[in-house]
Amino acid sequence: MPQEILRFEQVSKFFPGVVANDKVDLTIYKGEIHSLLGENGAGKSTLMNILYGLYKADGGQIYYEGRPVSILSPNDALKHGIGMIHQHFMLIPNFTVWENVTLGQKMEGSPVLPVTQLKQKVQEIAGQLHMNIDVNQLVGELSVGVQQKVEILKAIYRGARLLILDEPTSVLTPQESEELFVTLDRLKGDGCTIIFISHKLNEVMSISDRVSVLRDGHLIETRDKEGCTPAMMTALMVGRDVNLAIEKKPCIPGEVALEVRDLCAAGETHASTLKHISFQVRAGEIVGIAGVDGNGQGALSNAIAGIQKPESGTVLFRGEDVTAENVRRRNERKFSYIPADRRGEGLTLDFKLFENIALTQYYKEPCSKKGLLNFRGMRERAAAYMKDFNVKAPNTEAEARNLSGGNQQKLVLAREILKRPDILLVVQPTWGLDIGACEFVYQKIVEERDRGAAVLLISTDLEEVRNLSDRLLVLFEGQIMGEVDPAVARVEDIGQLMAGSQIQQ
Amino acid sequence: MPVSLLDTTLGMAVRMSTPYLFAALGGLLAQRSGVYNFALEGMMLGGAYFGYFFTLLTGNLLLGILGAVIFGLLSGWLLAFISIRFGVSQMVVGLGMNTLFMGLTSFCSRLLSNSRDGSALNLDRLIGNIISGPAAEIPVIGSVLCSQNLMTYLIIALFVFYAWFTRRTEYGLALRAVGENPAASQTAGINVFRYRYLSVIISGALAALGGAYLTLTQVSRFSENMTNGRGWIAIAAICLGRWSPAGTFFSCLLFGLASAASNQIQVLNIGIPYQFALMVPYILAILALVSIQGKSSHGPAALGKPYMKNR
Repeated sequence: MPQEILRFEQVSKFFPGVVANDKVDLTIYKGEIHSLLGENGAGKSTLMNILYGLYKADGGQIYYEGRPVSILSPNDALKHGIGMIHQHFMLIPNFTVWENVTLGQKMEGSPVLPVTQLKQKVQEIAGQLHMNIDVNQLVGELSVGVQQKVEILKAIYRGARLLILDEPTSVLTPQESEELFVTLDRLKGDGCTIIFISHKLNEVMSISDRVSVLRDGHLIETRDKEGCTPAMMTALMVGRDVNLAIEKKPCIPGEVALEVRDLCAAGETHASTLKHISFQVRAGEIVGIAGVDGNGQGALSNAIAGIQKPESGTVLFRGEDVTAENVRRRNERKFSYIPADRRGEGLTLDFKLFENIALTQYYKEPCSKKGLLNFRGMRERAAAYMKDFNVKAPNTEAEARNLSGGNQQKLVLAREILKRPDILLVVQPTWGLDIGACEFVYQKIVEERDRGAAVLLISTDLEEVRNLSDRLLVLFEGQIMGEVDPAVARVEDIGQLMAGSQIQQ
Repeated sequence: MPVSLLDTTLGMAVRMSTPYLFAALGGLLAQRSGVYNFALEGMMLGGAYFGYFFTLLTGNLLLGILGAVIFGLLSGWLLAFISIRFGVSQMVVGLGMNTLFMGLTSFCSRLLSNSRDGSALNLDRLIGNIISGPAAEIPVIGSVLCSQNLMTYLIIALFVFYAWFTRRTEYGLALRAVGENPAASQTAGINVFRYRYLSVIISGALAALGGAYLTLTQVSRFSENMTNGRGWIAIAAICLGRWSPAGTFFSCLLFGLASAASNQIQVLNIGIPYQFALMVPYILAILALVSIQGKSSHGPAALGKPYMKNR
């Protein structure tokens, strides 16, 4: 009989206008890996933030090792041996590994830090977990995968016996994910309990002992992994059957519509600086660019969209050099850009919907006449666009801020796609969207390709680029590591390229 | 041994850097915790006035200094309360407080001068120099050492303490962490608000001491807006010093030297219009800041961003 370590009883949490958790009952056994599965906004993270003391529950009770506990701060959580590894790391890049790990730990007696001892202790624990880490390195200089190990190290150092991992693989390469799973298995072997939050089915299926599915704040069901199929899980997650498999007609590439030649463009770091990149995208095909975030995606999309001036090299639209042209000139060449950051770059959140729709077209008919804005024209067109793309909003006068992520993205898509571009640059189109909205976005991108647009899709979601692309390029540290055929390439091979090594034959 | 021009200039440079040092250490402490103290100028001015006022009132320099410190703590608390508790733009609060203290000190000083006749407004005793005797015989630095008072030595010691404290103690580590990533610090069990509050409050006291240095060791009476941009120079010194205590310390000395040079140019009357001489420290500040532009910043990552607990 498995021993219970943690029990949620009727736990609820309300945010203004939203029920994040509604009377959730959940039991976690000692020494198991328990996955919480659900879409964005299903309430997984909220539930765990309550357990970790970051949020206060509005109702219900948490029992830890059989006793009712009240956890009001992460400190309380740590006292009970509960540690959490957040999606966005809680690390300080300007601090060394040992400083990050020991930060906030009370010293006995004098507040002067016994630096040598602390370093030794951290190194020791790293050794026990088979982590190859130099404790004197600055965390900012480590790769994302190693940073995550530092997070785990931090939790264990603080005496965590129950670890919560919030979407831990979203920032990792497939290989790094594998390594993480090995570490988690090792921790489980040492008697740790692990709660694993994810919306990626394959991961959940490969690592968990039991799975709980959340939807709209409700705990739908908890099951043993044995006897579950991915299809059953998806249906539980979404509440209906979904088909994310993308049906595409065969690709009929036409002329070269977008070309990048020997492009060098500065990024924030050395890794994200483009180094002599060249590729072509033909009309009627989707070229995907895979890679871990921070490997030059930003510089590439900025250079193509005309937001950033490249240091050298050329960008050509339909054979014409547009490198020196500004954003509007490029837009006039039937170029559309769907940026990664829809809230920051795609929309002006404080503007009304019709104003957002007019953003790239405001100077032309029907949005303006003889230099004066034509509000009626803008509103009419916005209403038509919103109807066409099924944007759920009260009217065209609502502020973009008040729309859900999915509807915000639909608004951007409507504006950029309904102008019927020849070249479409799409970056991270489904980041943070729920499955229903993902389906919609995928369908629209494929429609544009079938219509004859050249689509360049830059995404860190490997599943997404694999499924959508006709050809797939892998970006690593600002260079293209290779091209693969997404229909036949193995994930492991793509992962190798993403990590910077060539495919081993 | 006659005191040379070099000696006088260097001695003057150190004396003129002392107010910068106080204000800059205060500013650095606040910025390390993630909060800009843009009210340094006003806090110095307040410190100058209240240090002077309480000394005049009680005839006791120590009580005067105590008055300046209490003013500094209160003004620091006010800045902390508005910018940390309510998350108001630190720039706006700082500017507002500068204007407030400028008006307050001018008002109070006019009331005071209306109530007494001119000669009764001067302090009869100032904080004196502490080293004398054989030390003066050391070439160059001898006369520099001997022309300084207790407050200068105090601020040097405080800089050393700050450097040790932030590098080597648990509290110092936490202080730096709060300025880098408050959310991470909170999850590590650090009380972000306590560290920020305390840093800003102490920052106010240090700035006020810098102001009190002017009235209690240098000029013996208060005049309106006598700090004359020193608080802003201190902020420039922090930037130029890349947020490190040693860097900030030497930047302040550099600005002190520039101020002394500005004085000497006026005194020596070497044909440069005095208006240009007055500009020297400020031009230097601008050039210094331009020179470090584009180099990777070492400023605290969360500097200037209000942190609101999400509950």
